[in-house]
Amino acid sequence: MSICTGLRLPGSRLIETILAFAVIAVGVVFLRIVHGTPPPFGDPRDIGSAAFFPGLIALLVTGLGVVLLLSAWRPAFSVAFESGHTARALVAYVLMVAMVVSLRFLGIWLVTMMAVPLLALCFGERRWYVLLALAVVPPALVIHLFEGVMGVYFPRGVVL
Amino acid sequence: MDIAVLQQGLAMLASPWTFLALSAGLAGGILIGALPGLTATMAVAVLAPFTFFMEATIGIPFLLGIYKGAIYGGSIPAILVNTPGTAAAAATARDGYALTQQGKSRKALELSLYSSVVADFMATLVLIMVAIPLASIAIRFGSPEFALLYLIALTMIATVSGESFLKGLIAAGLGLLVASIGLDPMSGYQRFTFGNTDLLGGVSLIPLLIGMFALSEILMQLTHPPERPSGNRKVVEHGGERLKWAEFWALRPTILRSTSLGTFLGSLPGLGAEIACWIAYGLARGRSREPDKFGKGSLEGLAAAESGNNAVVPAALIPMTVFGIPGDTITAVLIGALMAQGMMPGPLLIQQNPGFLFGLFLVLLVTNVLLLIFGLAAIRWLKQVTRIPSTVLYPCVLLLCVCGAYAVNSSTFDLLILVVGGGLGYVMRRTHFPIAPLIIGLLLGPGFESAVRQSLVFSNGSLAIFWSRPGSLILLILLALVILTMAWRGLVKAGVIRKRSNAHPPKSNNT
Repeated sequence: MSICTGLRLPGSRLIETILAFAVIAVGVVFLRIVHGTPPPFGDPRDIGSAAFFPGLIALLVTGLGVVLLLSAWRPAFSVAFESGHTARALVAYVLMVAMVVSLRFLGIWLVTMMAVPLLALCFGERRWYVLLALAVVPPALVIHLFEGVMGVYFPRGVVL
Repeated sequence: MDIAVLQQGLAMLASPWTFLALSAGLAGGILIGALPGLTATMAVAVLAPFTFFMEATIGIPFLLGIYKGAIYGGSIPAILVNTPGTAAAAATARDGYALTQQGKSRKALELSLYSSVVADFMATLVLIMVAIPLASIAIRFGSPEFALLYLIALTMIATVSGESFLKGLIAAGLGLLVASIGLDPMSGYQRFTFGNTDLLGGVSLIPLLIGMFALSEILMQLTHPPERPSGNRKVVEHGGERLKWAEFWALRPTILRSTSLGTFLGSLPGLGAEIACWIAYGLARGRSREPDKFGKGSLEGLAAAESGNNAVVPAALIPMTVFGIPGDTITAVLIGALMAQGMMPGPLLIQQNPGFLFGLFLVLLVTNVLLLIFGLAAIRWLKQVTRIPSTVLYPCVLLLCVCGAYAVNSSTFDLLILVVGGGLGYVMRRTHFPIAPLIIGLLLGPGFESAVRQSLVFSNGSLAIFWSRPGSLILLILLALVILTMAWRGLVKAGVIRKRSNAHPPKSNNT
């Protein structure tokens, strides 16, 4: 989607600033590790050392983050982000993280049979028979495909 | 050509398993491409783990089939319901849907298929003619040449893949930083692993790719639910008159021009089918005797868009096979799949696996014949697929993502990489950070680092090694040209923005 279309989100300048700080933070963290005492991967100024290249790139990323920060506060700042249903996406993301984290404990069957219909709910599906079918058919098909055909076995969990 | 290479290539083509995998990939690709919201990159990324359990001669043709099928398949819903199945079919919808509204959907679908097949076939011939001679030059490249080549690729990708060059550069830098996690390619030191053995081999590429392309797409679909198709699906009848040979023959200059343009753009790193279709469409409109018809059902417009985007597919394989540099995000995934098969794309692939590469070229040619057959079947049967609701589709995609990411190494740590990649991809897409430079930075990182450090070690730290050799000097001039072009583009863009903001001064500083 073009930046000119869709609803513009207020505070685009603030978002760009936060992004710039995040980029600077990533660069600084890598720089801090590379220049730690004692240097963990060798002298960053030595071209033969393992620290040389990441040190150089981290410096570049930090510098570019500063440029991004400065450009966010230019008078001619023209970037605008679209608004959208961010809360729904966040709920779905939490669901994905929960699915991945709990896989080892709850096992593939329980996790997928819950996560698939829950994601369908996020997308607005409300018909119970569709949700039931989604809880049973896709997990059964996909898991059998991976385990039966490809020989990949998923965690069974400790609960069941 | 060596007889053994020829035999190996023909054996690959003649294998029923290769043929079956190619057919399955092509049919699946058309199906996936026809589903609005499922992109070609997403399809290749999600299905790549399946190929790890196949031989390379079966798995890679399967992925190529998906790639080609999905790019073509995207045109079907674009023509029938004005909803491009993939971003590459966005230009197709303009004239394709207008033709459908005039009751000529069959003509539009046939023209789209024939233009795609012709463009794909011609671009494949260019790939075959160009790849091997270029690779014989690339074999002579040393570390300085490769370092400059990688730098050119990263600069070009950062320039063209997003709205902001600065953000493109940052994304490429972040990709290079992520690539430095794991064992140092030269000394074997553990870097940024924090004692985690799962990170010794670096960040798993395929789970990250699935997360960044597929999970982020699911989240984007939730954020911006797709609009209802503007056409009334019940009123628009599928059918009408067929394409006449004379009509298709009259379009040959447009198809040739768009194919040449698509081939050129596809061979440059970073420019994918989604950009090529619009440039080809614009060029065709500029050269047309009837530019007013564009957007209202012009056959020229439809042929230009379809031949432009399909020519990109084989052309994007040129930088991949010759230099090991991905032409677009899909070839980045293909490189990941090749590496998982123990093959190193680039001149080494031609040196070490010439039979496989020759077989792959033959497979690409055969794909066109199959695309014609499957495409004709799809025109007849696939319109129902566009009606599958996203409420059913995306939960199934999530399931495939999780199972596919786990299958790579049978590791739950890869699932963490998957969700981190998904979150990162979502944030990047919402904030206009291009994903392609990050992925390509991550892919090229180890090679780029080795090339830079080896060059500097050979020259005792002197940068002169980058201009003292004829090959590296040419590449350095090319890099300078890329940077100058990019700076010129930036200045022109800034001038346009300043003019606009002078004409419409902003009311508030925050928006």
